[in-house]
Amino acid sequence: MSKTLEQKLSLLMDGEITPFETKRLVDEIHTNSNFKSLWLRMNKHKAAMHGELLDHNLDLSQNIMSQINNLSPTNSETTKTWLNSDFFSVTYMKVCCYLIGFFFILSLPLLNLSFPTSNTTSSNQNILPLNNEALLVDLGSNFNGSLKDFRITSSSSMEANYLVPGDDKSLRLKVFFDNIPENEWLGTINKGITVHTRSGSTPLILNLSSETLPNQRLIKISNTFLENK
Amino acid sequence: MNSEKSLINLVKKGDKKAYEVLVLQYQDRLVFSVYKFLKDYELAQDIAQEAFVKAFKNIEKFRGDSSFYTWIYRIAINTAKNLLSSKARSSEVYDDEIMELKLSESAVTTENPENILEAEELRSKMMDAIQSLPDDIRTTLSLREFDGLSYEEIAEVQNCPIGTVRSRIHKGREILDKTFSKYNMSNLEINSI
Repeated sequence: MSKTLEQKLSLLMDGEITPFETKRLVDEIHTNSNFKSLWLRMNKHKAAMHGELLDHNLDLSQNIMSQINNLSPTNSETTKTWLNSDFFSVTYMKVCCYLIGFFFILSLPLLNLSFPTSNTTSSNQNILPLNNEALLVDLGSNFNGSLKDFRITSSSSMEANYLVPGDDKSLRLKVFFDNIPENEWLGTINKGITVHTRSGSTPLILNLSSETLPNQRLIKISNTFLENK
Repeated sequence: MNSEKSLINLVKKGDKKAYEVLVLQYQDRLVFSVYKFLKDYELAQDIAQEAFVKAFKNIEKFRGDSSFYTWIYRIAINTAKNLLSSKARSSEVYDDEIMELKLSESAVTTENPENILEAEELRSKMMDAIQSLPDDIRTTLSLREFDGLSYEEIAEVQNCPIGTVRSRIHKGREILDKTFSKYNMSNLEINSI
């Protein structure tokens, strides 16, 4: 193993290397077992230095990479195609939207529907199977929270803000219906506490977060959803 | 220069080899964090493994606002929380206090279980090894590892060229690698190779 390459590993560890060299090192780690072993050891030393090494023999990489290699190609490739071909994605989406809108307007007389006259929130409410505001008020009653506002974020999720009595602090509740794919709801939450609960017979996933409420209070509130399930 | 960003970009372009480099880099740290949370070493490994797979599936959603480790840590802890919630639900016995303790990230055990002791022992040995490094190398490596300074900042602090910083840090790590072999670390052989 050349000294220069070894030093490059040290630089890679500290984020002090160019994209071109990174690519070269990735290939080298993949093809050269000694090099891979050194990279693993260097990271173990680092973890040990910070008291974060529990088992110096641990290596999950083989299992993880084997699971990743067994994933269906649709997971990543579909997304990539859409993201990489700007022209087709934008044009295709536009055409789809126009067509859906056109056929929707044409079908209104047949379905005996009329355009909603109230605000956009109420038009979105038709997408979801439940009376959303009533559901949110009902969820708020768990912790005596008064519903300030809410919005529909997708066909299977919505987001609401409550005022928590006593504390006069606000709490944000993200509601996901159980039919939502896991990666979809997981991707939209980045803080707070997530619980699985039910409203009547409907399974729900709730994410609670607050900029102002203390964590202990937030935990207590999340517990009410599990207790009242 | 941001090597991590480069690695993520490679993964986003479909380079699984780059993801393996990230797995090798962060696996120990992630298992340790989940272990602190769950107090179950086997389960911590399973959760960390699941988190790495979930992160790969959702890599397009990673915008780079935080570090990759912060992002995958969140995924792992959410996975662990969901597991605890579903366990609590399935047993239909819900202990408020236990859940609060588990949910609190400060719930690092005070009872010193075996694994934590091992981590402490390894850390202590590593610190001894660092202490025995030559002065200039020890100082440079410490500024990087414990103070989190960039190479440029270290060069400024130590009033030396950046190339010297690079070689000192590398030399330090090389010595630690050799020294640590004496503490039975040399038996590290990757099964996957």
